[in-house]
Amino acid sequence: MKPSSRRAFLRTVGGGFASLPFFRLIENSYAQSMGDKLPLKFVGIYHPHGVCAEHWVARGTDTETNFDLEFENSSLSPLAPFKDKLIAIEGIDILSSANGHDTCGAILTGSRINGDLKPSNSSLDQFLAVEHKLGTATRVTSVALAVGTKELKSGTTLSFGPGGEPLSKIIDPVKAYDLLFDGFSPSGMGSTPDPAAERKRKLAQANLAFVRADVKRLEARLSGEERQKLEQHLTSLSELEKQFSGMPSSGSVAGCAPKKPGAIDKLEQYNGGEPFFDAITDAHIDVLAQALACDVTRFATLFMNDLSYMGNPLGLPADNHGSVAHTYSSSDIGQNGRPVGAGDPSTWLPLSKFNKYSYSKVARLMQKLDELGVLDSTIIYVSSDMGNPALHSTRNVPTLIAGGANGAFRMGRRLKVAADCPASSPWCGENDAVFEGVTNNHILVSIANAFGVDIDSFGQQPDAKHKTGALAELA
Amino acid sequence: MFGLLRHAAAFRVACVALGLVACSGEIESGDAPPMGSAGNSSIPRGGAASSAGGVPGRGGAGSTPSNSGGSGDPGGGAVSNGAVSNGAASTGGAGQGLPPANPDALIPARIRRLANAEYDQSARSLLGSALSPSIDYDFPPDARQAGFTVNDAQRVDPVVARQYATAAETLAASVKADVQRLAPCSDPNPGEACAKQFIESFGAKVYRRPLTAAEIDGPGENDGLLDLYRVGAEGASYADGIEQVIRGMLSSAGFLYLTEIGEGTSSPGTKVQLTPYELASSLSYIATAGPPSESLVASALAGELDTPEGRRQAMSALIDGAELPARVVRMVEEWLGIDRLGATAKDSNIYPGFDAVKAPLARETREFIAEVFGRSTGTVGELLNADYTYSSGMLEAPLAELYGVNAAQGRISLERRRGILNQGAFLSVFAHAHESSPVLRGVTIGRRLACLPIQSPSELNILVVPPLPDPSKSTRDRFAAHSQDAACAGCHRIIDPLGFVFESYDGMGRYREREVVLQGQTDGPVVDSHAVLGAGTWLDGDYADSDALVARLSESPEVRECFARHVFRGSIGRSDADVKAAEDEFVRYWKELWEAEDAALKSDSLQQGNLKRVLLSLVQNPLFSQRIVLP
Repeated sequence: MKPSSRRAFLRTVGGGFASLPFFRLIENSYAQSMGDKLPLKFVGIYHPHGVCAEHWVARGTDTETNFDLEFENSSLSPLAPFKDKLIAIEGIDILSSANGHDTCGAILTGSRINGDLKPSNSSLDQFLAVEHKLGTATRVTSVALAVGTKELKSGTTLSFGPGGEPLSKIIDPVKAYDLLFDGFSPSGMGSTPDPAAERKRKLAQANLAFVRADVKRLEARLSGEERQKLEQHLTSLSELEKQFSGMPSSGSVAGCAPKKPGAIDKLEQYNGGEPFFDAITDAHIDVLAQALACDVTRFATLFMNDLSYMGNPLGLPADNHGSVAHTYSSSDIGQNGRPVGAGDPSTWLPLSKFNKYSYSKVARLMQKLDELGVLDSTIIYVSSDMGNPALHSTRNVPTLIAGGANGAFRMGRRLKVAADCPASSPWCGENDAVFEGVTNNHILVSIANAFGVDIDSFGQQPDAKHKTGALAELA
Repeated sequence: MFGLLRHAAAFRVACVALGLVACSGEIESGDAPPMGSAGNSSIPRGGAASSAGGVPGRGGAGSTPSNSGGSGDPGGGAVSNGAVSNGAASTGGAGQGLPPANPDALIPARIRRLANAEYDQSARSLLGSALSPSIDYDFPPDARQAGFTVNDAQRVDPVVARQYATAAETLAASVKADVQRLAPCSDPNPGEACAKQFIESFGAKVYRRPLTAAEIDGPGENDGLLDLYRVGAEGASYADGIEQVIRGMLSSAGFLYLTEIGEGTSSPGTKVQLTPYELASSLSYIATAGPPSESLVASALAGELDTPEGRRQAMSALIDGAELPARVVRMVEEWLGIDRLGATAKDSNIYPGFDAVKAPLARETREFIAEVFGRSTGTVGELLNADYTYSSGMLEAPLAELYGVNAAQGRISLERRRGILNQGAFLSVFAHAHESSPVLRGVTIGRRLACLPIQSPSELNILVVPPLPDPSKSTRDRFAAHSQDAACAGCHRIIDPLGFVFESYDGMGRYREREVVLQGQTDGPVVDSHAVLGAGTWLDGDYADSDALVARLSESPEVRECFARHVFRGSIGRSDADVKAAEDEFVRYWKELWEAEDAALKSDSLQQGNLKRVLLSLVQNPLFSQRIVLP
């Protein structure tokens, strides 16, 4: 909100209300009515198992701006209500050097995955929120959520800190709620000062000050890359400090206090968590949408999972990975342009059903953000670690940009970037001179630019052309 | 070589496998030894792998590993073979240390955050109870490097910081009632003087060294621990102040990071000597995942850890107790990847009994490792080829059923199934949810036991087309396609036979003579566990089954060396290019001390590949106490 309209707003509502919990939401709508832009927000979303291309790509009758998402078996159909807030992009390659399953870590880093199965630079969310301090203004600088796995591996992580070290994820929606909303004192307006709470805060602040001094004492004795470890530690302490420092309380006031999610029995993959994954995903999305709307945070990532259990609601085989993704037998469309023939259409539907499920979660997030008035000021970047999952191919990965992006991108389109290989050598590989793949790095540059961060390249690619330049088609 | 790979990728490649591997000699892959990656001065074991086929092989040198004083690394130009063989002969392999062959092969100076198990063990040691803070306070899992949890990658990110803060606050509050024991004070009105005493004495345990003046009472506001006492005790009690001190200590950098940086501040390029405190901590955390005892610190201060012999004795005291420390057991599990059992799931239609046997399998493996290394020969050879498994209590029913034996206790003989690789834990982890995986098993043996360089297909730009289940074909038949494809065959003629020999065991380690591809199928394909490895590596041979393979592995000097390398990586917590020369040096030193196939040691061959000896030689190495400061 521009200072002028903020002043006007405060005159209208009275300054005392500015500390109210629902203030942010009222302010959001007021700012919008005044033609202001809300702060831009970013959400990176991963979904597993690549894509059934046959039920995803544009139909022959579609044009760039006039297209149908509700064709038969379309996995994108849940997004139909938001098609004017969407760009679906065909043909993006993630050049990770890694097996498809280890490539999640390249989606937001644009980095090759190294021998220790890690990218070598931070992810876009951290680059913007921490390194460019765009997350400083909010209570939580950024948040990394996941469904079912806390493992700090490239294959299960979207967010990476300095040097490409994986960031811990929150898999329990209750903990996500606690992080994002719990620091809000429930006492609300007009409460008398609480000496116990005041002491608690004072002790916490003294503790943080001491730890900061202690970390700095050690840092002063180090040189080179070793210091980076403690720099990150100091950043994390600042994060705790922000959480302790007073922010508007949400309490029980409607609007900025989402309902606290109920406890979930089992959270972890391979340990009985699978039947709860759907509920976990929904709860994460609801808490996240509220946090974005209340400006608690502006940067988030969400690692989604599959529904690998007997009797899953999609009616898919219990092993989604082995029995759905791996059995996908595609036609040329799903083969990076290689002339392989018709494939086996009976294997397409299970995979596209799963894709549709993933996109229904993206639609849920868009729906919530829309209701809360912040969809237009959000960029959601959705991708997977693979294109064709049976090939474990990291080329032609399904890519969506969703939300209004504060006008930075022209939404409501289907794009298809140049093919990887010339028609004369459809089998070309990424090391071949004729390979012309368009990488996700360009999308990362575009998003950074949309946030006003003026960079021309992002990530680590041996060939500079694969990391340099925005994806011009987005704007 | 890239020309060759491009050529390979230009075909429609149908490598049939999941998560797999192809090979080439020059480029290292994720899990393969890092030795080959740092330039051409040293060549990975397996020798010069630049032959056109890309198949690494030791060739003639490999078949006579004793030809150079035990340094079976034909390309290891940095290692002085001459000096080495003399050394081995003269020392007899135990007491005195050998000089380093390459005194510049130093481990880089660094700090490293405690792994979760180390945090837990440290908290127990300090607060005197059976605490498991990493579980109680939901710490994120350890980041891994080369499969190990002790490593350079642990960071304090915002989630970790929050969990640490919660743990410190809660743990401190929980011991407040015990303040008279922790921080006794004779003054009836205890105050700052007592607090200061406590900070000095308890702080030295938490920080594993005496505190500095600034740490105790820094110049700025809330700089020092005494400040925390004052804030806590103000308007409250002595115990409240002590509580805040403990909370501060448990959140401190001094507690959370182990240092290997020597005294003071050093500039890049400097060689530094670890302080006595750092030496004591290093030894203690390698052996026990916990802080040093007071007596170990006292030895360090008396200069006893400054000599190879002193460190050897100290390490010996730590690992020679009645029970092998859990930390060492864990390292062995991490080496083989068996600790991933907890995160392994199976299709319950095909493996309905898996959930029930998972915990017993994990226990079995831990107890077996402790038995072999703690109470038997202690060698990797026995780990691989023992004709028994071990159960301290009665063998649990699901496990007895899996192995087809009667419940028993102690050492339990098993028909077939020699050694750890034939146990259910390994066989389950390295399999898919619905079927066995010759590739996963073969790759693990190739990389983690044989240290053969094996790359992943994506690094080689090979497309992977997984084989579809086919009731008329065995897993082996379906997977055999690699060997018919030129691009895949380079590696898969190594990998596949190593995995095929385990085909008598299904995806959860049950013995089988036929496969069950469709539910209820009784006439499935007959399994075939016979395999011939003829890829030009030292492991070439004709193996009737997995028992034959593990027998060979158990006698192999290459496997012993590979094991020693992994013990180095899992103990020092490094495996990157910066530490490559140091790793080579430590391995060379270990070989000279314990492995030389010298006449004087021949009689001792039953002790080759002894885990404790690897650990002893690790700390005995003169380079153990030094570091190099990197830019």
